[in-house]
Amino acid sequence: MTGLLAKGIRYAVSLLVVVVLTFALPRAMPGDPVMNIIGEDVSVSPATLDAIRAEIGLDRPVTEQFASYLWSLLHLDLGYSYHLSAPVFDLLVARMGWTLLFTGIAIVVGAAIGILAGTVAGWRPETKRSRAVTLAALAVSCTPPYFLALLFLSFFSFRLGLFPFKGLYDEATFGSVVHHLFLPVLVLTLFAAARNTLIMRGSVVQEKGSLYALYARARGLSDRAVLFGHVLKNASLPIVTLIALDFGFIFSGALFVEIVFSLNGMGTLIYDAVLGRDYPLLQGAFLVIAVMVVCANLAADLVYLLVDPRIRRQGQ
Amino acid sequence: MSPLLDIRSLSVTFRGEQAVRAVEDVSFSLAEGEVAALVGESGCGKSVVAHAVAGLLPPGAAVSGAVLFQGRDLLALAEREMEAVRGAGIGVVFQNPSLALNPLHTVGRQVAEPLRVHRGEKKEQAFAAACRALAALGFADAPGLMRLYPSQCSGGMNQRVVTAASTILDPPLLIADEPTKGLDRDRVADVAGELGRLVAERGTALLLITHDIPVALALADRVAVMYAGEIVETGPAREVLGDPAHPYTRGLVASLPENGFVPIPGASPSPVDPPAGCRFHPRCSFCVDRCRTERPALAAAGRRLVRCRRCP
Repeated sequence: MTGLLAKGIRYAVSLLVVVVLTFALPRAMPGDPVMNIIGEDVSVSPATLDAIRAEIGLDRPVTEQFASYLWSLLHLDLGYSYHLSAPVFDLLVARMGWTLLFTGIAIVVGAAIGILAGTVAGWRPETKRSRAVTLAALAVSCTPPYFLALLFLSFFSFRLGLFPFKGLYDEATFGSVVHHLFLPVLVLTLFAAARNTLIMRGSVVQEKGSLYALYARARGLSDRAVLFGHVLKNASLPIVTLIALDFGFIFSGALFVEIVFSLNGMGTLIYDAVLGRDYPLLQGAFLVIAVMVVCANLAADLVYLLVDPRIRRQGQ
Repeated sequence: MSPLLDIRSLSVTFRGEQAVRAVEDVSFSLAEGEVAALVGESGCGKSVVAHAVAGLLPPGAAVSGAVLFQGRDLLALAEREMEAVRGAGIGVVFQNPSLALNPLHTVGRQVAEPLRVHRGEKKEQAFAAACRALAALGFADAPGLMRLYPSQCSGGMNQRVVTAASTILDPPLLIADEPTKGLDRDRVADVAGELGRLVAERGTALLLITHDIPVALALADRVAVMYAGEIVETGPAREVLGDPAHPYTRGLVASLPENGFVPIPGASPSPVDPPAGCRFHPRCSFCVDRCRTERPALAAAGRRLVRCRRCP
C-alpha cells in the first residue's frame, strides 16, 4: 500500500509542478503580461490596460493570483483568448477530439504493428527478413514525422491523386473523414510502429536469451510456444511505458503533421497561437497536454500493476 | 545391456569471430538409475556437454559425435522429435531456479506446463497433477503455492518448484546443471539431499554437472573430471576424488578448503587457442618434454581412465 501511496504522491507533485510552471511562465516572460495577453498589434490606452490588469488580477499579490488561478482551474476555466475571442477551454475541447482521434488510432495500431514486427525482428535477428524489418524501422524512426508527411503528401496526393490535400472532411460523413485522415494517420502510425519495433526487438532479443526461456525449452516447449507463451508477454512490458511516453511525443509529432495536412486539430491551434503570440491559449494547451501525459503515465503504472506480479508485490 | 545415455566423441565448437572449441572428444556413458558427475572449474565445458545432450545449445554451435539416448542418436533428431524428448525423456534442472521460472506466470502453470505440452492434458487435470507433484516434494500448502508467482517464493521454494516441473513426467534421465552454485552450505545440503532422495525413490538416472566436489562425492557413483574441454580422468567417484591420479585432479582436490586450500598455479587456458600437447602441461609440476608436444590419450589405469603419460 505504501508503494501505491508513494506513487500517488509522486503524480500529485508532478501535477503541481506542471500547474506552477504554467502559472509562472507568462509572468516570467519579458514585457508587460497584459500586452502579451491582448497582443502587440492592438493599441489601447493606459486606462484600458489598467482595467484589464485589474480584471485578470495582476495588481494583486502573487499568492492571491496563484490561489485564484487554481480556483479557476478547478472550474475548468483556462482563461480567455483575446485573439480568438473565446474561452481557452472551449477552444481546446473543440479541437482536441480530432487530435485525440487520429493520434489515438496511430498509437494503438502503431503499438500492435510494432509488437508484431519487433517480435519477428528479435526472435531470429540473423535472418534477412529480420534485418530488413530492423532497417526499415530504423529509417522511419529517424525521419521526422513532418518530412514523412510531406513525402507522402507529394507522392500519394500530388502524384497519384489518391487522397485529398488538406482538411478533415469535405462533407461531414464517415467516408470523407476516413479519406482525409488516412494519410496523416498512416504517417503517425508508421512513426509509432517504427519506434515500438525497435524497442520490442531489443526486448525480445534480451528475453529470449534469459534462463526462463531456456528452461521452457528444456521442458519440451516448441520454439513457437516459448515465443508466444513466455517471451512475448515479458518482452512487451517496456512497450507499455513507451506508449505512455509516446503520448506526449506523438502529440508533438502530430502538431507538424496537422500543419502539413492542414487539419484543424490541436496542433494547428497551437501553431497559430505561437505565431500570433496567443499566450492564454498556449498556456492552456501546455497545461492540458502535460496533464494528459501525466495521466498516460499513471495509466501505464496501473497496467503494470495488472500484468506484472513483481510490481504488484511491491505495491502491496 | 546398453547404457541409458551414451555420449560418443562429442565435440562442440562455437563459431564466431574466433572459433571456440568448448568440448573436445568427450565420451561418457550413464546406465539407468546411475548417478554420474561431470566436475571441473568454470569454463571447462561441462555445462556445454549437458546442453548438448538436451539439445539446448544456441544455433551457432557446431556439434559432432553422437549422443545416444535409449538407443537413439539425439544429435540426428529433428527439432520436433527433440522437443518430445526434452521434459519427457530428459529433465533439466538449472542453477538459479528463481531466474529459470517465468516471473509473469504462476508457479502452478509452469509446473503443469510439461503435462499440457507433452500429453495435451486439460488445464484442470494438469493443475491437479502439478499440485500432487508439489505436495510430494514436501510443500504443506501446495494448492496455495500453485497460485503464487516466483517472486513471491524463496529461492529454496523455487528450487523445489523447478525440480517438480522437471520431473513431473518422470523422465528416465535428469540433468542437474550446477544445482548448488551460489548457495550457502545449508542450502547446498538441502539441494543435494533433495536430488539424492528423488533419484533413490524414482530410479532416475542423474547427470550432475558441478564444480562442487563434496556434492559430487556425496551423490555420484561415477565421476568424470574435465579440464579445458577434455575429460582428463574418469572412474568410480570415491577412487577418482579420494585418490586422484591425474595431476589436475590432484590439484583440484588439494584446492579444497578441507585439504589446505592449495591453488593450482596459473590459469585455465583460453579455449580459442589451447596449449599444444597435454592441455594441462603449462600448469603441471610433473611436466616433461613430451607433454609439451604430444597429446596424451585416455588410458586405462585399473577401474579408471586417465589422460596423462606420467601416471599409469
